[in-house]
Amino acid sequence: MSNFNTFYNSISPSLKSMVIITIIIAIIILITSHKLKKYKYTDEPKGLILIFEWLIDGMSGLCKMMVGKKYKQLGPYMVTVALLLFVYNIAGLFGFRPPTASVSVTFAFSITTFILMEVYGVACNGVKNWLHQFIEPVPLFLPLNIISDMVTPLSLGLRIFGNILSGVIIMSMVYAVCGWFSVILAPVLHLYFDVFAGYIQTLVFVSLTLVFIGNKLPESDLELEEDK
Amino acid sequence: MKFLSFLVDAAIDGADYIKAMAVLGAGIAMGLGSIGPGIGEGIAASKACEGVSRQPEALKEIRGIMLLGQAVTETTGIYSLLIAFLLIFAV
Repeated sequence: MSNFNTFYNSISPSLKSMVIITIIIAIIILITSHKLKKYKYTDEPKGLILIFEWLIDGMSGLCKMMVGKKYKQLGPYMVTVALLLFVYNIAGLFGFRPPTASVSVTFAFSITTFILMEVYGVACNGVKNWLHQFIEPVPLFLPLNIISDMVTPLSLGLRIFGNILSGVIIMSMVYAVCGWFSVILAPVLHLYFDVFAGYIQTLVFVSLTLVFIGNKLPESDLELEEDK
Repeated sequence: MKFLSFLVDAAIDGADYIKAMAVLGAGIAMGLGSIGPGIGEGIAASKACEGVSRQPEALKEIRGIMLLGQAVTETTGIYSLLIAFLLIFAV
């Protein structure tokens, strides 16, 4: 038992809350998929099914606008990322330390974006055209293009990290300074720093990921031909 | 000059000096670094106001685009905030 205690205390608080939150999200998704098995498309959607339908519908609309034909591949990934990031960001409301206040979590997300970006660049353009993108418009721009690609995961990761970390630090200052008065003050600040900033940062991450991937795709993939 | 004698007696060593300068630098970084994003977000909001007054029916789209643009603009401010945190907690 003491072994377990030393092990438990050696884990960082972000990792603990991340594991707990991820397990809870996984359970919710399992429940939803179990409900979906019994769900007929003529039924009226309600509860969890309605929430997920709204989320998936909205996200595939956003993906259609940004990446055109690839929305069927990217849509499910973006829904997963949006769900995880949003719940991670608002974890302060439930008494957890937000996992995105740790730089390794945000960089995991942003490096995934970077890898997707380059993989889509190679897969949709071919290696030759992908390399040619780096010397556009003139070969002089080669170092600038490489730097602007490399700096993408850095800026994406630091944006979320800085926003959420500043919220965490300011909230802990408020709790330390205000004492009992923080009962009145904290909910308002939580509303701004957790819900509003978390939502906006999730939206920005998802939109920028789609924009960066869309930039790498050839023109012909971006137009969506009319259905039927 | 007696009131200044604490400066001589206090025996400030190098570590204290570095800490003091780091905190000062954090303040300067935050102050200068928030000028740019403040002006930029103000411009974005004023243009959004103009857009809404010209086209009130496009309020929803304009608000979404404005918030997205402001969040991207804010990134430079966040960078200076991170530098300030590093100076306070890591130096």
